[in-house]
Formats: sequence, C-alpha cells, structure tokens
Amino acid sequence: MEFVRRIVEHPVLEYEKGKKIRFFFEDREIEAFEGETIAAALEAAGVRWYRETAKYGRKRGIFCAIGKCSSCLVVADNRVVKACQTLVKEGMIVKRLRGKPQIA
Amino acid sequence: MVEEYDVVIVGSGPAGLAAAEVLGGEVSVCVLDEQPYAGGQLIKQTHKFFGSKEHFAGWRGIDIAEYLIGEVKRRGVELKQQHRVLGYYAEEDLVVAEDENGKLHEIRGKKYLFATGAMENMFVFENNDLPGIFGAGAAQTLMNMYGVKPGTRVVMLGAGNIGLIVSYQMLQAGIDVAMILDASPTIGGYHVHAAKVVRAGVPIRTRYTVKRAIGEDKLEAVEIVKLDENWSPIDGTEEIVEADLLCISIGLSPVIELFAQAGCRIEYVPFLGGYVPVHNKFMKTTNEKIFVAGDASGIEEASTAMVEGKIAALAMLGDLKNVDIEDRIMHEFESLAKLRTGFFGRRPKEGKIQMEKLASKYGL
Amino acid sequence: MNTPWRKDGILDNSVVSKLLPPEELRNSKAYALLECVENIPCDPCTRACPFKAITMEHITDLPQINWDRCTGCALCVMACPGLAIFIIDETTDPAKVTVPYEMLPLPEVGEEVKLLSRRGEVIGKGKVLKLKVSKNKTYAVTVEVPRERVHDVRAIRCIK
Ligand SMILES: Cc1cc2nc3c(=O)[nH]c(=O)nc-3n(C[C@H](O)[C@H](O)[C@H](O)COP(=O)(O)OP(=O)(O)OC[C@H]3O[C@@H](n4cnc5c(N)ncnc54)[C@H](O)[C@@H]3O)c2cc1C
Ligand code: SF4
Ligand code: SF4
Ligand code: FES
Repeated sequence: MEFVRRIVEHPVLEYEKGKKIRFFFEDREIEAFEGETIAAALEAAGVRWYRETAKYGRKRGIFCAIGKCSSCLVVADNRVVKACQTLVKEGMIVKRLRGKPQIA
Repeated sequence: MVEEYDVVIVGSGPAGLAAAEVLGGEVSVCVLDEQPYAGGQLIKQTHKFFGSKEHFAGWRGIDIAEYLIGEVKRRGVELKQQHRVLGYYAEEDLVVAEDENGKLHEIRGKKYLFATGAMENMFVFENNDLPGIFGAGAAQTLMNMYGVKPGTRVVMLGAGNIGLIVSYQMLQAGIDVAMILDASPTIGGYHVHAAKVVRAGVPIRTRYTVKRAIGEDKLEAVEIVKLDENWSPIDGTEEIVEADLLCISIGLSPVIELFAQAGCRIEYVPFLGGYVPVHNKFMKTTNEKIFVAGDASGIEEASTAMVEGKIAALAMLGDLKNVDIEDRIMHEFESLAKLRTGFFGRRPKEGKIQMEKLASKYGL
Repeated sequence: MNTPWRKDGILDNSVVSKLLPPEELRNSKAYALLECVENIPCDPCTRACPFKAITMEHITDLPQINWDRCTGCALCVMACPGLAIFIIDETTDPAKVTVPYEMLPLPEVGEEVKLLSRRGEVIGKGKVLKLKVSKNKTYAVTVEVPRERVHDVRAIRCIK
C-alpha cells in the first residue's frame, strides 16, 4: 500500500523528489522522500489519523497544513511536533499523539 | 546573542518577498518564515494569475515565487526558513524565533514587517473534526508541493475563487471532484473559474451545505442538504455523497496573533476578513516600529499583497534613510487603487476606507 | 448587473448570443470568442494578441475585440488565465472549435475525443485537428465539431 496517493503525472507540474528514505509510523515502516513533511509522507501512504484528543479521544488528522491549527500533532523522535511543518528524516520514529503531550 | 538587521520581515509570502525586494541592497534585511520552503501561498498555486503585467498576470504562482526568491537573494537578503516567530518583545525590542530543532533565536530590527498571511475558516457541522476534512489550502499544499493526492473523491464546500481553483487543480491531479457546494444563492468566485470546472463535469450547487460528516476514523461520506431562502435546511432534501475528502473553503481570516501579542491595536472589519491590526495607508500599525502587509492586513490577493509589501518597504526606507520615496509610493498607491475596482474589488476597497478612518482615530 | 450565470456557472444562449460577432463575419472567417462577462482585474488577452485585436482601457473593463483584426491564431486562448477564450470556425462543415486544455492525457492529432458542453455534458465526439502549446503549458486544441453544435462545444475529454 505504499505510495498509493502519489501523483505520477501532472499536466503543469514536475515534482523534484529528494532521496528515498524510510521512517516508522506506529508499527509500520513507510517510504518517503527527503524534503517532504511528515504529513505529506503519511498522506501519501494513505494514513489520515494522526492523534487522539485529550478530553474526548477524538481522532484527528491534518486540517490547515500551514502550521496554524495544531490538528496534526504527532510525536516524532520523542518530540511533539506539527506533522505538517516538520520534515521527515531517515529512520524517524513517529507515533500518534494520544492525550496531552508530556513535557520532559 | 542578538542578531541585528535594519528590517526584520516575518512571512515570506508575496507581501514579505515584495518588501524584501525593494529593501534588499538598500538596507540589511532578514526574512523569517516557519514553513520549510519560502513563498507563502504562492508556491502551491499552479494556476495562472490575474491582474496586469506589473502584477505578473498570466504567470503561475509558483513561478512568481521562484522569481521573487531569486531577486531577493541576489540583493543579499537573508531568508531563514523553519523559523517560527513566537513573539515581539517591546522592552528588549526584538523578536524570538524557534527553529526546527527547538532552538530559540533573538533577532532585532530597526523596523519590523509582519506579513503573516491568512488561515482558513472552519465550519460547524456534526463530525467536522474527522480526519479527511481539510481546508482547501491543505489539499492544495499536498498535491501541488508534494505531489500527493489529498483524496480520491472530493466534495468541496465553498464556491469562492479558492474553492473553484482548488477543485480545478484536483481535476488536473486526476482526482474525482463530486460536486462543489455553496450555501449562498450565487457563486462567490469569478465566473471564468466556475466555468472551467463546470464544463469539466463538476456540478456547482448553490444553496446547499454540509449537514454532517460520516466515518469512523476517517471520512467515508458527506451528508448534504438544500437550504431555503432563509438559509435553513429543507427537510427531506438530504443526500449522502460518498467521498474520502471534504474540502472547506468558506473564507480566510487574517493571522494576527503576532500583532496582538506585540500590543498593536486590533479592530474588527468584516470587509477585511475579521480582526486586523489597525494600519494607515503606509501600512504602519499603532506601533511605529511595526508594519503590516498582505492578507494579514485584510484578505485580498497576491497582487495587492505585493503592492502593499512594496508600500510598507518604501515607508520603512523613508524612515530609515534620508531618501525621497514620494514618487515611488504614489505609483504604488495608484496601482492599488486600480486593482481595487470593479465588482470584486468593492469589498476590500470599502474595508480599507473604514481602516483609514480607524487609523486616524488612533492618530496614525 | 444581471448575472444569471452566478447560480450555476453556466452562460446561457441569451448571454452568449450577445458575445458573438455579426453573422456576416461568422460566415467569412475563424474568430476568437471571449466568454468573459464580469469586470475582473485581468488583462493578459490584450497583451497576447499580436494584432492588437483585443483592447481594454481599464484593467477591470470587459475586453473588447475588433474581429476585423483577428486572425484566429489562438495565442490569446493559451494566454487567458480564465480559460475563457475559444476560436470558432463555422466557415467549414464540419466546423472547428479551439479550446484551452490543461489536463492529462494529451490527445494526439487525428485522435477522437469527447466533446463537452458548457454544462460538462458529453454531446458527441470529434477528431483533433491541431495542437498548440504555450510556454506556460496551456494547450490550444482544435477539434472538428458538427456545425449545429459549434456554439455548444466548449471542452474536450480524452477517450483513452
Ligand atoms: C487557492 C488560492 C488561489 C489564489 N489565487 C490568486 C490569484 O489568482 N491571484 C492573486 O493575486 N491572489 C491569489 N490568491 C491569494 C494569494 O495567494 C494571497 O492573497 C497571498 O498569498 C497573500 O500573501 P501574504 O504574503 O500576505 O501571505 P502568505 O502568502 O500567506 O504568506 C504568509 C507567510 O507568513 C508565514 N508566517 C505566518 N506566521 C508566522 C510566524 N509566526 N512565524 C514565521 N512565519 C510566519 C507563513 O508561514 C507564510 O509563509 C489565491 C489564494 C489561494 C489560497
Ligand atoms: S486569435 Fe489571435 S488574432 Fe485573434 S484575438 Fe486572439 S491573439 Fe488576437
Ligand atoms: S485574459 Fe481572459 S479572463 Fe482575463 S480579461 Fe482577457 S478574456 Fe477575460
Ligand atoms: S495541519 Fe494545521 S498545524 Fe498542521
């Protein structure tokens, strides 16, 4: 199911892709390209559910993709980050944020 | 250690970049932006722009961004990406920015331009937080910047220019657009944008809205409903439309947190998109060090954002150096007036007139 | 402004008929038809035309076309960001319509494509006669159209 949502051909755009890398989301290994955000890589792999809210346990994914709504918070390499603003890195371990973030 | 510049610009959208282009080479300039890539909204806009030659008409947004970034760098402006500005601190007179590693930077300017842009409005309906409900801009970012399809079958809520353009771009990316809905009786965007999608087979349903989203951990279908003259749902007109993406494009609001935090006066001006920092026609806010330009000063377009950026830059230049800016600024005022005419220019024009009155109330 | 098209995005015949050149001219040569009916801030069509056939005084005016100068070259079709310009040639039978195209796949000359109305309905098939492309990647595709449909066909879709 990797790359299910990649646009292969486009009438106007050419996509310059970075190096192919791998990272982990929950227990799944996912392929991505250097230079893309965690959110872009997750969406490309068909993942839409990024976190669970603290009070009602509501499932959330991205909404704004420009860093303004915080709907996309995940835990990446032990830091709570906005998936839409953070570039994915080789070997990165990304987990759903469940409940309130812990401040270390 | 505090980094020092003559001008610190927050936001590398068309407003911030146009300002940096004017200032670069004249004074030292640094542009801070939280996104991984410079260009603001421009870099996801693959459609050809309107406006006139002076405003890059006929160019695609991405090409305008590339051009401006090149010009700005050539003039020695420093562009810092992944620098989120957390606040302006009046006592120390500096902004604090956080980089991608969580490191904080203190950056001081003799003048500041906050060109922070806008953000999509949310709409209230049952289950509106389900994964798979995106702002239209988010869908655009995924497909145009990263080559990722935001969905396979889409319902678009909002037939303003953004809803129409993003729908067209989804068709270009090979995504099935089921329909475009709008609660108002008429299409808000330009007819030419509507005509493009309609003749490609996408129906636009005015006086329709979304009643609820359906799905467990992601969107599976959307329940839509027809509205009567009083904007109330008509019982029995509900329909279930299968979709894995619902795009919301019902309007934008200026991003004003920085201005509010810095203590600039904020006022509510509906024609400008909501709460905006009070500013005079030179784009100066009630804090004489801080200027505003672009969507943050009122929702408009990239063309007007660039002109406002230039006006703010010229005004700052006039304050910083003893140069005569009058002719150049007059030219930009004329340019703005021309862009704000006609049926579609009436709202921002009215909004900016109200703003001038507010500005004089605050002695600007 | 009476704007019936703002309900569904479709220009009806009563509006389109006012945009057409006089009958005599329509029978004598190919012409550009500007389906641009709102006062939007836009003017690339005026610059695109090498023969200065399209003019406007103020940026939010409607474009005016002088058909005597128009050669049907389609440069304006590819330049218009609204994709609102079409070249109509009803001097031949079948007639020809040139539409802007920015989708995939790209048709080839000689290929049959679906013909679509302003409403997006498939109203027939036609052969591609010509393809032109601008540097900003908008194509102008000329298709064969039954004469009686020349004022209805405004888009194409590939069959392949
Ligand atoms: C789909 C769509 C189509 C459009 N079509 C057109 C068109 O055809 N013609 C036209 O003229 N206009 C068009 N526009 C409008 C145009 O894109 C916007 O009006 C314009 O981008 C506004 O520019 P700006 O510089 O004010 O803000 P933006 O482009 O939004 O840039 C703001 C920047 O500020 C950064 N920022 C914000 N807060 C912070 C912070 N605290 N720290 C660091 N950085 C921060 C953001 O990351 C962003 O990069 C369109 C818009 C959309 C969404
Ligand atoms: S078809 Fe050619 S000659 Fe006619 S208006 Fe367009 S650009 Fe000018
Ligand atoms: S370029 Fe197209 S949309 Fe713009 S004014 Fe000319 S015909 Fe109208
Ligand atoms: S999706 Fe809104 S902050 Fe990431």
